[in-house]
Amino acid sequence: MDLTMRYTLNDSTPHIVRQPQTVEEAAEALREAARSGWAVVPWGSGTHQGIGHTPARYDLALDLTRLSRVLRHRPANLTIRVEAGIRLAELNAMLAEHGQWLPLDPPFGDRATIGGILATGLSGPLRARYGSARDLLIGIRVALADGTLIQGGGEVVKNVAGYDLPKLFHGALGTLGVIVEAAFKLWPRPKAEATWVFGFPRAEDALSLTLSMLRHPGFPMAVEVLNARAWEALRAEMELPADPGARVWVLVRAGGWPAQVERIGRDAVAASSGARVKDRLPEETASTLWARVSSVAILPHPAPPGALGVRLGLLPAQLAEGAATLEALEEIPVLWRAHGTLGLIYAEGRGPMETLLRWAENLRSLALTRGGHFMILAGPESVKQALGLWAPLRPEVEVMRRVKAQLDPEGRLNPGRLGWA
Amino acid sequence: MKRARVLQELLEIFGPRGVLWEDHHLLLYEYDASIDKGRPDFVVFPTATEQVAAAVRIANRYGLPIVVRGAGTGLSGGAVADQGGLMIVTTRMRRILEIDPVNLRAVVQPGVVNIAVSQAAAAHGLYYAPDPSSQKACTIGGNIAENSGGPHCLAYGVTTNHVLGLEVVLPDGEVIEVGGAACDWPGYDLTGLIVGSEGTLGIVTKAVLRLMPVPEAVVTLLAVFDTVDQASEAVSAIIADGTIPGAIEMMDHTAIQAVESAKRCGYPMDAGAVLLIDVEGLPEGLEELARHIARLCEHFDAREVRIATDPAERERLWSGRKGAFGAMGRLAPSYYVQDGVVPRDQLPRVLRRIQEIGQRYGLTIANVFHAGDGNLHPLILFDERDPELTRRAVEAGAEIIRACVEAGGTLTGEHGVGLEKRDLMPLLFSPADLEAMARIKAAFNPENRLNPCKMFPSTKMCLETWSRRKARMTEPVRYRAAPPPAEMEEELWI
Repeated sequence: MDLTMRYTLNDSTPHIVRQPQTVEEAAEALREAARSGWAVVPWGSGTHQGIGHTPARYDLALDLTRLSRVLRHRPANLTIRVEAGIRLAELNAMLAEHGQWLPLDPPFGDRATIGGILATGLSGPLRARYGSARDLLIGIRVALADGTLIQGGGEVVKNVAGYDLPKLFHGALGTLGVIVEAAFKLWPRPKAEATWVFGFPRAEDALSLTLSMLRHPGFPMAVEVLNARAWEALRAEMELPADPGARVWVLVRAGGWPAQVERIGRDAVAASSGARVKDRLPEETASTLWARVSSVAILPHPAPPGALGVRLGLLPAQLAEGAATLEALEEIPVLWRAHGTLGLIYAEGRGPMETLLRWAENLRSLALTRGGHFMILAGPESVKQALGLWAPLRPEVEVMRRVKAQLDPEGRLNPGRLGWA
Repeated sequence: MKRARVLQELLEIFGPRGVLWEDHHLLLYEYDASIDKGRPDFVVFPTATEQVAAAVRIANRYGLPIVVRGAGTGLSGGAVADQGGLMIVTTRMRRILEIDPVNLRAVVQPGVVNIAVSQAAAAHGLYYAPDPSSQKACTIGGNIAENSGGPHCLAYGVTTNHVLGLEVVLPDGEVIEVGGAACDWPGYDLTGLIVGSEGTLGIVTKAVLRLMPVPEAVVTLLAVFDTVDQASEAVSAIIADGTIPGAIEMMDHTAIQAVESAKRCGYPMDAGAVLLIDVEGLPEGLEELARHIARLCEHFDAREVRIATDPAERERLWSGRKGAFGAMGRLAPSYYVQDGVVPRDQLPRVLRRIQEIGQRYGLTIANVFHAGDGNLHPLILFDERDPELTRRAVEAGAEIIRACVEAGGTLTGEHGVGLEKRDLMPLLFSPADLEAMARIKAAFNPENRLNPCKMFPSTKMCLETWSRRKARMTEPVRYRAAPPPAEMEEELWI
C-alpha cells in the first residue's frame, strides 16, 4: 500500500510523508515544508486525527512515532523528559520498574503517543486525582512552522521563567507548532488501591456520591460515571455486575495507604444510599476495567458512518441535567461517560444524521444556557460545518487567531482544523 | 499640558479619592518587595472592570505605559513602574463574588487577599490551596500574574493549577473572558498562558478559582540534622520513596540563628539544618506515614525528629518558617532573596555551591526554602546603604542563579522574572525561544502598553528611559496642594 494512504484524512491524502528519526530531522522536514509552501499535519498514532475540521490543505504528513526515546529520567527527582512519539503505555511500563508512573489514561491510551495526548488535551478518569496532562507537563520543545525549534518550561517541578508555553501548546491540536519533546512530573504509584462500583436507578441518585467524592479529602483517583449502554459495552468484554434497574453506574477508584483506601471506600458506600448495586471489584477485574474505561463513549478515528461523538463541559452538579438531555431522544441510542468530579461528559450517539444534528443542537444549547461548553469530537464534516466545532465562540477567539497568526503566519500547520484560524 | 489633561480625564472616571498624582503620594507606589524602584506618574484605584477598561483607554490615548499593582508584595519588580506612566492598583477590587461549595469554585475580584478566599471558604470545609508566604497580604491578581507558589504547592500545585477562568482587560480596553467554571474550554488555553505572564498580556479583573477540601488531619515533623547535606539527602529520599508530603521546607544554620533569636520556635541553635514536613489528608494511616518519613530522616542521620499533631505545637514549629524572612533583620539590615529551582537530586551540590559563592563575595547567605520542590530561597544578607555591598549582593545573586541553571534548573520558581531577572533570561532561553515569546506578547500587547520592559531582556530604549527616570526620582520631593504644572516630563512616556 502506498505509504501516503495511511495518513488519509476524510478523503484527503498527503503528497509527502516524512518519518523523522530525530528532532533535528523533524525540524528539517518543517523547513522543507516552509520552502515549498506545504501544509503540514503532524501525526502520532492517529487515534484522534478526527478532532477538528478536516484540514483545508494537506501536503505533508509528519509522522513523529519514530521520535520515541526517553531522553532523561531522574527517578530521585520524579521527572522525565521524552521525545513526543513515545507511547504512553511503553513509557509507563518502563516507569513501573521504579514504582513511578505518568498518571494519564486518555482514550486509546494503549496506542496514544505523548505528543498526541498533549496536542488533543483529552484526559481520562485519573484526572480526578492527578490533574490532566496540562498539570503534569513541566517542559516542552516544539518545532514551529518554519522549523525553528523552541522550548518552554524545563525539567523542574516549579518554574515561572517566561511565558508558560507548555500550557499554550497543550490542546492546540497541532495548529501552533509540532511538539517534539516533553518533560513531565511523575507520581509514585499508590501503595494500595481498590475499586468500588455502584449502580443507581437515575443520574440524580448518583450525584450525592459524585459530589461527596469531589469534596473528599482523601482525593479518590477516579470517579467515573457511565450510563447503562456504556456499562453494557464494558460488560460485553469482561465480568461485571449487572442490574436491569440500574441506569447509571459510578466507579470509584481509591489509592494510597491501605487504611486510606478502605476509608474512601467506606465513605463512598455511605454516600450511595440510592444505589441498587454496591460492589467492590476483584483486583484483576478492576485493572482490566480501568485499562478500558477511558475509551468508552469515544469514537475511534475514522468515525463510523452515522455516529457523532461530543463532549460537554458542565459543572459537576449539572451532571444529571446533562444526562437527561443526552438521553432525551429515544431514536438516538447514546453511550455517555463522565468524569464525575469534573463535569466533563463524553458521549457518542448513532442514528440518522438529521436526528443526530437535533441531538447535538440540544446539547449545545444546554451547555450555553448553563455557562458551559460543547464540542464535537468526532463525526461527519457536514455536521461540524453545520453546528460549528464548538460553542460558545467568545471574543477570545480573536486573540487565539492573533496567536495563531504570530506563530504560524502562513497558516500551514493543520490549516482550518480549528475552523476559525 | 498633556499631564493636566490626563489628570482631568482620570479624575472624571475615578473622582478625587480614586487618583493619586502628587509626588509625595506617588512615592508610596514606587516600590514593591524587590530591590527595584520606579515612580508612576499617576495611580488609580478602580472598583470595577469598566473603570479598569476606561483607565486603559485613557492610557492608550496619551501613550502612557500601564503597570498593574496588587498589594506590592512581589519580589521581582513586576509591579514597579520603572517606565513611569499609569499605575492601576487593584486593592479596591476586593469582593469575593461567589463561593460555590457544591462545585468547589470561588469567583473573586483581583484585589482579594489570598487568605481571604480560604477564610470565606472555611465555613464549607474548603480552602484555596496556593499559599505564598505573603498570603495575609498578597492579592489573587498578583498571584495570578506571578503564578505564585508556596510551601504547600508541593502536593497541590501552584496557582496555575487552581485557576479555571479569567476576565481580562486587554491592552486596547476590550474585555474578554477566557476559560470558566467548567473544565477544558475548547481552543487555545489562554487562561494557562495569562497566568504567570506578569501583567504583560492583560489585566485580570475577575478569576474563577478551584477550591479544595480542608485536610482532616495534619501531622508536622521537625527533623534536625547536623549538616545541610544530610537534610537534602533526606529530602531526595523522601521524594524518591514515593511519598509526597504536603510540604517539605528547609532552613539552614544561619536561618535557624535568625529565627530563634527573633522568636523561640524550638529549633536547636546548633543544628546545621532543619526540615519541616507536613503530612496531611485523612487521619487513617497518617501517623504511620509520619513515622515512615521519620525513619527515612533518621536513615540520613537526623539526630532528632519531633512529630507534632496538636495544632498549637504545629503552629509553633511553622511560626519560625513563616517569620523567617522577617527575622533576617536580626542578622543584617537588608536581604536579597533569590528564587532558583534545581532538580531535587541536585540540592546538596547546589547548596554547597551557594555557600562557596557567599564566601567568595564575603557575604552571609541564609537558606530558607521549599526543599520538596527544589525551589531555593537563598537570602543574601547585606546593607543597602552601602553601595559596594549592594553591588556584591546583586552579583552573588546572579551567580547563584547561574549555578541553578547549570544544575538543570531555572531562574525563578515562584517570584517571577520582572525587572530583576529579565537580563538573565538568555541563560535559560535561546534567541528563538525569546522571539516566540515576543510574538505571543505581540498577539495580546502589540504596542507594549502593558508592563513594558518586564520579563524579557531589556532593550536600549528601556534602559535609557529608566536611567532618565532614576535621575528624576533622586530629586527632592516637592509638596504641592494642587495638580502639578503641566509642562513636566511628557517625553518620558514611551
